[in-house]
Amino acid sequence: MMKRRRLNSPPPKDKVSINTENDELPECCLSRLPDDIIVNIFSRLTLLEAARTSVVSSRWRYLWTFTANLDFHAPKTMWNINTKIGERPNESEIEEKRSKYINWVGKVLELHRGRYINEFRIHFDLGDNQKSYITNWIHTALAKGVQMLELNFHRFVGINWKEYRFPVECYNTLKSSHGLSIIKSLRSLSLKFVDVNTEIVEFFIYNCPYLERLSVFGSKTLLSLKVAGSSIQLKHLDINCCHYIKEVEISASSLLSFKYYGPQIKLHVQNVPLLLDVSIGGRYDVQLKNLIDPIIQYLSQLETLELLLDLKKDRIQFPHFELPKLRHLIFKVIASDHHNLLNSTQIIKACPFLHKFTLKLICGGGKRELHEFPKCPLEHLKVVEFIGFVGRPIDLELAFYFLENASMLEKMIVNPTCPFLMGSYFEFENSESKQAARKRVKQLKKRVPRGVQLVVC
Amino acid sequence: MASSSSSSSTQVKKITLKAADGKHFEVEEPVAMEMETVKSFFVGNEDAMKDMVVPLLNVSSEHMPAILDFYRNHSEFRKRTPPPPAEEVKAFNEAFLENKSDEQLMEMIMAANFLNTKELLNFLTEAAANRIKNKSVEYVRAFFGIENDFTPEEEARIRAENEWAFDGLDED
Repeated sequence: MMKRRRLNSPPPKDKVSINTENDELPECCLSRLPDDIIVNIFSRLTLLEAARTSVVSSRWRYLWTFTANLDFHAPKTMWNINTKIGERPNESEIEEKRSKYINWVGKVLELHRGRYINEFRIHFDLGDNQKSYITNWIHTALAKGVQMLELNFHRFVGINWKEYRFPVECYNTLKSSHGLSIIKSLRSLSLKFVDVNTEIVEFFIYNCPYLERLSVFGSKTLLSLKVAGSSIQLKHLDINCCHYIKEVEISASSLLSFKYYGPQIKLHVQNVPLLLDVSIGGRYDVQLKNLIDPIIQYLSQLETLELLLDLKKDRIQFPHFELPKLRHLIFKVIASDHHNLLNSTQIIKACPFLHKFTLKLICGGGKRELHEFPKCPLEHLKVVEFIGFVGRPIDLELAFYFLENASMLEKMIVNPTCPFLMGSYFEFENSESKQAARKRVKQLKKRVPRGVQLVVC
Repeated sequence: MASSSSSSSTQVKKITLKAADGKHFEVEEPVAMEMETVKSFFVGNEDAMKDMVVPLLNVSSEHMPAILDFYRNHSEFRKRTPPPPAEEVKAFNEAFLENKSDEQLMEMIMAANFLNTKELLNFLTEAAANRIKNKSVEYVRAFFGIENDFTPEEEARIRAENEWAFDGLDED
């Protein structure tokens, strides 16, 4: 009967006066929000936004330190380095930023009073020299039951001039019985520019019963990966730019999405009845066909497919397959202006229910005339998106093709940021090429029919 | 609109909820049971008490129709196979929040907290977070109806302590 009393309990005593025009509202409805609700709201803000509420009022001064979201990602404040794309910044300036970043993380962790951390994300140019700090952070986050852990040691410039090996000491601690108990809360693990080997990655896969999302990006020491077993709950697997990987074996009945980008590998895929989302390709000596063949029997169940093509190597030649359930098709293409992306429209025809098409284009300069685009009704297509829009014939003719053929089109999104720079230190830089591409959007505007919204990012 | 008595089925058992201002709402049992607070009212007394009126002291009748509509739709979304497309859920959620003032949103958060329903509460706190994202401290104060009780010196000192959070922020 305790529970009944709660219903009849008096409203909280402390109220704040809020002007209201509605006199009928009982006073109890105007009570201020309880602290746990405010913390719930803070946990949905960025760490910076949450911390700014420290000056709202004395009652709020430390409320933000209960936030469950510790995403140490602050491109504007921490990445503000005086350099341009392609130039290597001054090492002493980076070193200064690095210690500023480390102080920031350390200070916030010291202040943090919440019992739990939901999300913990480090995103900065760090390496082996900062190993002791990083190991401490990982332990603190795990001790507070972190569910989403991301370490991203993205370099300011270049790929290989700094490294961070997942520390052996840290791995040894995690293997202990205490370690095994604290990693159990992990639902998502993302290691970017962290050298982890097969043993460590598989350690997480087989010892974190709730692990749903695993992402390994840019590890030079990951040589193979086996994700197989009936107890595995993994839903999302992403292996990207691990340049020495040779073999991947997957048998995971919960898997919804699989992303692979890297060298040619031996890929074995079986028992993936729920697989809906695939992103696949490679840049170097990779034949797309060799990566698609191992998953060919699952193509008919896919809803999203991303193909990564290097047109400087490959010709667009698709094996004949049908994609009856596909709703979103994405091409990430490295090309030159003389290439003709209209060839890709043959695969669009194989997707009768396509809802959205995205082109992520990485394209060098050059000049040529527009090609004729084919006529082909696209009855379900509602959204077309161009990322890395250059506004030259290579993408303009494809845009015209969609504007002409997709009768149900609602939205065309044009973003001139190069796909490679998305999420990098330079994402928001307003480069000359971006400004030029924005000017060229005019050519599109003329041909956008009424009823189609053109969004320029 | 407030009452669901228009339902043609007489099989579904109804539970009467009484809002803070005394208005009654007849609600299908499964919908009422979405609210942990209502559910706990009947724990151990399932049969004897179903004819009782459940008082909801912290929920204004103004918000009851919208809240009940949320439960009905979202429980249907959860049950449906295959699951509804994301656009459909998004469209419902957007319509739900449309024309809701900040104050109404706050009141509904209080209601969801009192009714103890995680799904609605998380949805509404997310909506509140979206409304204060990238907003100034003054805006956040006004949004939550909070008086600044710091002296300018105190405020400046706290800003300096958490300088990293304000660094690079555009002035209003």
